[in-house]
Amino acid sequence: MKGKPIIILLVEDDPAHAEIVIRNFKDFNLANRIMHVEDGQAALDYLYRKGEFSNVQESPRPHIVLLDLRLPRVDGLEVLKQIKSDRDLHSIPVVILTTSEAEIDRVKAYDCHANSYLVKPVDFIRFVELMKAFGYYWLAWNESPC
Amino acid sequence: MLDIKTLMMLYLIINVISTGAMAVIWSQHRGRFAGITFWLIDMILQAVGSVLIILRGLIPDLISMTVSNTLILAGALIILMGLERFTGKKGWQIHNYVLLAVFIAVSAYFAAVQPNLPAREIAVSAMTIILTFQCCWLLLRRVAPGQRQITRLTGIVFAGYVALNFARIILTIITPDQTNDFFKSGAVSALAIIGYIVLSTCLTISLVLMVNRRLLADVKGQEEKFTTAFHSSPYAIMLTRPSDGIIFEVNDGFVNISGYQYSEAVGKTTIDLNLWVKEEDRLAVVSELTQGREIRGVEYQFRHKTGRVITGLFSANVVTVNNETCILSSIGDITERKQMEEKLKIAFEELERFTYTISHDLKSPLVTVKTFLGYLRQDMPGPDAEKVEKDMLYIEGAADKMSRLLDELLEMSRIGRVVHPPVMVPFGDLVQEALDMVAGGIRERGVAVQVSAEPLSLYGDRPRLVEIWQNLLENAVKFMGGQASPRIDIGIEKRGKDTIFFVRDNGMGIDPRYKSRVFNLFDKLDAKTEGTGLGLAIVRRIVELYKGTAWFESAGEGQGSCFFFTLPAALQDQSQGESA
Repeated sequence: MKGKPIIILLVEDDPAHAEIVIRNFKDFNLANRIMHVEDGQAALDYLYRKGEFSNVQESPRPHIVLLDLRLPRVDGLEVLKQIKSDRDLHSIPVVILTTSEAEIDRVKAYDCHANSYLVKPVDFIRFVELMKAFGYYWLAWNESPC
Repeated sequence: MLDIKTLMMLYLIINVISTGAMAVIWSQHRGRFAGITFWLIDMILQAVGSVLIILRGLIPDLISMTVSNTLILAGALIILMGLERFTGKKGWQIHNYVLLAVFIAVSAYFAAVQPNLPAREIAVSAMTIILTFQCCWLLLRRVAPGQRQITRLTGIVFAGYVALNFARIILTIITPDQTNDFFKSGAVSALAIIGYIVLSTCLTISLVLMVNRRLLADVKGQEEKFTTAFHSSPYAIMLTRPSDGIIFEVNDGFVNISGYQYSEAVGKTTIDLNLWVKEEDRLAVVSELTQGREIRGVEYQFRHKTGRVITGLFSANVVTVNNETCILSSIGDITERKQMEEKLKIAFEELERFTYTISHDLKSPLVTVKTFLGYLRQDMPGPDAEKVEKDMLYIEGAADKMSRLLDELLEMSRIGRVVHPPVMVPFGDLVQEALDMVAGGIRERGVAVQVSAEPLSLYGDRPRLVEIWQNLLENAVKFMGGQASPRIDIGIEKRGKDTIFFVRDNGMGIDPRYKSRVFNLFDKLDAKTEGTGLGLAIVRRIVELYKGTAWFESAGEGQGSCFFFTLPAALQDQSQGESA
């Protein structure tokens, strides 16, 4: 496992937030490949290798999905549902990363078998702390299924 | 010549029979009407008094003469008091007590000290006149005019007593044969007793009739009371026969709520009237009732005569009226309440979505601002000016987004309130105004715009109406995609009675899968595009204010799209446009 880069699929419609996540991973030297897509449909296309994502070399299967909830075209929850009901994809850990603290979102996400639910903190330090902890836990400590 | 003693026996018998009759009346109605106990006491006193008279010679004279007459007169006073109570005109009796005391003294004097029958008879008659006249006056004059019909007959009988006693006094004075033995007294006494017999009989009958009339009047009053209550009830009430479901009585509320006239409903069944919207509801109600249960305030749907569906709060139970079983059901019309509830629910859901959106979408730029300010603090001392510039751009972008969001939220919250008074605007003017507002985008993208000439005017809030086309045009320009010869058509279609407005483009089109989300608050279909996702939500809200609907048709991505909407309230007769 070690040495082999972990591939993260980041599904985030807000370019600024995507930049924050990507920068954090870079800053902690978590040498990983981050694949960024901007909406739910693109995320599904990536996972099913459709259209522009048909090349396996350029679009490798992710070890973990970082998913926002409110997304253009296909909603984040819908993406989650599809991943978790797919025999081939359901083992990929999906971590929700959203600004929503709404109970309904949290409950729905876990109902759809989200592996974790993270709320983006408004505070810079806390956001950095969160990404650091996320990185160590999911990318270093956690053993992924494949 | 009739034997006085025989006549007195006859009088006694009449008194006993009257007492019996009065006892029956008393036992039945003493609780209902005041004063009847007094009548019974009078009757008993009359009977006892006549017994004492008959026993004259066998018992001491003072008892047979004074006591007997005193009892009879006391009876007359008691019946006066009884009648006053019966008619609700209770008055002072002190003068009568005093008179009675005087009479006792006079009578005793002429019985024991200086026996004189004519004097005693005159005293009795005079006292009788005084008392019966008061009864007569009470029943014919003192009672309320509305009550006189009930009391008149009894009053006339008392007038008879007055007349009889006057005659007796006069005849006693002018008749020469004077005797102190009552049983041997002449024709005057005999006639007087016959008169008493007749009047006593009449009095008993008239009292019974008076009670009867009073009962009838009370029943009629009750009936009127209940009929008024029945008809003025805001609920629809109907009485049906359980055997065949025939309606045999409905109230005015039923006429109002169902739309059926009395004559149209009575004799029919609820099935004939097509009253129940769902047959299973009716069957459920029948089943409940046949199992002996009652139904209290259950919501069902009913059909008005015109076919309009009413939501009603329904209650029913089985009642027995005149030994006949019938179903008493009532319907309270809560249609408006239900509609308000529905509207409230929708408004609440929108509010919920609104707060959700605020918590999410407004927080999102805040996260960006705070985070990049943090990065900025790290990057500033370093040599990398490009990095600093990038941080600031992100912050600026987030601030812009937030400001745009706030503007549109404010706009959204304004839509429901009338800001501008409604005016008539030609269709062409509205579209032109909207085109002017998006002229920049149209020129930049080189869009060819085609507006069909329509001789139609709309009535409503002008800037608000313009906003519909403005948002749809902005949307069309924004989603032109890679179209080489972009084009927008604006016009009107007629489908049946409906006037349908459309804005059609040949741009990117919309995947039919996203149909349900297009008009939602803050839902964007493309992350890369400008805007907050509020444009189409605003369109939908304005259209709904004019009682219309908005929808779109698109063959799919790359096939262009067409947005349709109706504005019935802006096209209706112009006076109603103000509601919008």
